[in-house]
Amino acid sequence: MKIIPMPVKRFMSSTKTAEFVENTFFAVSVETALKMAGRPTFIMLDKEADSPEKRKYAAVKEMLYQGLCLGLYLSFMTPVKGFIYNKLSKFLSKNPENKVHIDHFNRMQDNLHELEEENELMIKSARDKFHKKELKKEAYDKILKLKESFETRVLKIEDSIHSPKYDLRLGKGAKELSAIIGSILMLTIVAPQVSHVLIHPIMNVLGFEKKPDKAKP
Amino acid sequence: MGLVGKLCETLGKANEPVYTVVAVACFKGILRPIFTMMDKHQDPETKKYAAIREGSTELIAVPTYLFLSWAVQKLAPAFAPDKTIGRTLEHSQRTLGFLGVCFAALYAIPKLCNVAMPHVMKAFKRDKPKEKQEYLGTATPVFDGIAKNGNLLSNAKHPYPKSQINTGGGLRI
Repeated sequence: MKIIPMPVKRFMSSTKTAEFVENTFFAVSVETALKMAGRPTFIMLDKEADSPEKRKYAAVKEMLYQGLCLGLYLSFMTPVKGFIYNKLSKFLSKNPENKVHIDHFNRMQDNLHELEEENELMIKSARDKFHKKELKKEAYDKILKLKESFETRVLKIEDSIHSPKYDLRLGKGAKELSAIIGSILMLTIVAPQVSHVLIHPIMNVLGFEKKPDKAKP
Repeated sequence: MGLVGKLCETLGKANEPVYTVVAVACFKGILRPIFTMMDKHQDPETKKYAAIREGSTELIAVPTYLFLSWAVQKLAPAFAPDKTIGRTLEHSQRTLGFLGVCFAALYAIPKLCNVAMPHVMKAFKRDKPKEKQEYLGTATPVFDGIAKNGNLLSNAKHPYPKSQINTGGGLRI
C-alpha cells in the first residue's frame, strides 16, 4: 500500500518496536496509562447517564484508581517479576534438559545487563547531540550482536554426534510468564485492596466526599 | 516437558500483548466482584450493583481486546516494507496487535460500556423490589419527624452508609 509513508512502515516493522510491544511490562504500563485517560473521559461524555456532579465524581474516582494501579505497577513490578521468575526457573530447572537452556538464557541476561551498564557510561561521555545519537546506535548494534551470538551458540554434549543449538525460547517465555503472573497479582489483587484504603481519603482531601457523620446517641 | 514448560516455550516464541491484557481482564472480572461483595461497609444493594457493573465491564473488555487485536493484525501486510526481508511482516503484526489493544483500552471498551451498561443496569433494576418506597408510604407522623432529622432513614431501615456508586451510567469502578 503506497498511502502509508516509508518511515511509518519501517517503524512498525522494526525489531526495536516489536521487542517493546512484546515486553509485558511496557505493554501493560501503556495500556493502564491509556485507561487512565480514556475511561474518565468517556464517563464525562456520557451525558444521558447521571447528573454532572455524579459524573465528575465517578470520573475522578476512576482516574485515581487507574493512576494508583499504574503507580503500584511501575514501583513494585520489577521485584515481583524477579521473584516469580526465580521460582519459575527453579521449577523448570528440575528437568536437566530445561536447566541447560535456562542457564544459557540467564547467562545472556547477565551479559546484557553488563553491556547495558557499559553503554550507559559510553553514552554519557558523548560530546554533543550528534555524537550521542551515533553512540546510541553503536550501543544498540552491540546489544543485537551479543543476542545473536547467544542465539547461534551450539550446545556441547560429549558422547553425542549431534550438536543442537541452545534454545532461548524457554527462558524468554519463563520471563514473560513471570511478568504476566505478576501483572495479574498486582492489578487484580494488590491494586484493588490498596485503592480501597487510599481512594476515599484522597477523594475526601479533593473535596469530592464528605466525612461521614458519627451517629448521634 | 510439562505444561508450564510448553506454555513458556509458546510465550518465548511469540508473546502477544493481547495475552496479558486478556488474562488480567479475566481475573479482574472474577476477583473484583468477589472483593466488592466481601466489603462489609457497603449496603448489599449497592454491592450487587457495583459487582454487576465490574463483571460486565470485563465481560465487554475480553472479546473487544481479542477482536480488535485480531482485526488490526490483518493490516500487517500493508505496514511491512518488504515481506521478503527478515521478519518484517511478523514484527508489524505484533506492533499492530499492540495498537489494537491500545485502541480498545482508550476508546472501544469505554464507548461500548457507555452504550451497554444502562441496559444491563436497567435489567437489574427491574428485578429489584421497591422496598424503600413502601417504607416511606407507611411512615406515621411520629416517624416522619424522626426521618426529617435524618436518623430513621439512615439508621433504622437502612443501617449502611448511602452508596457513592452511581447506578445509571457507563463504566465505573
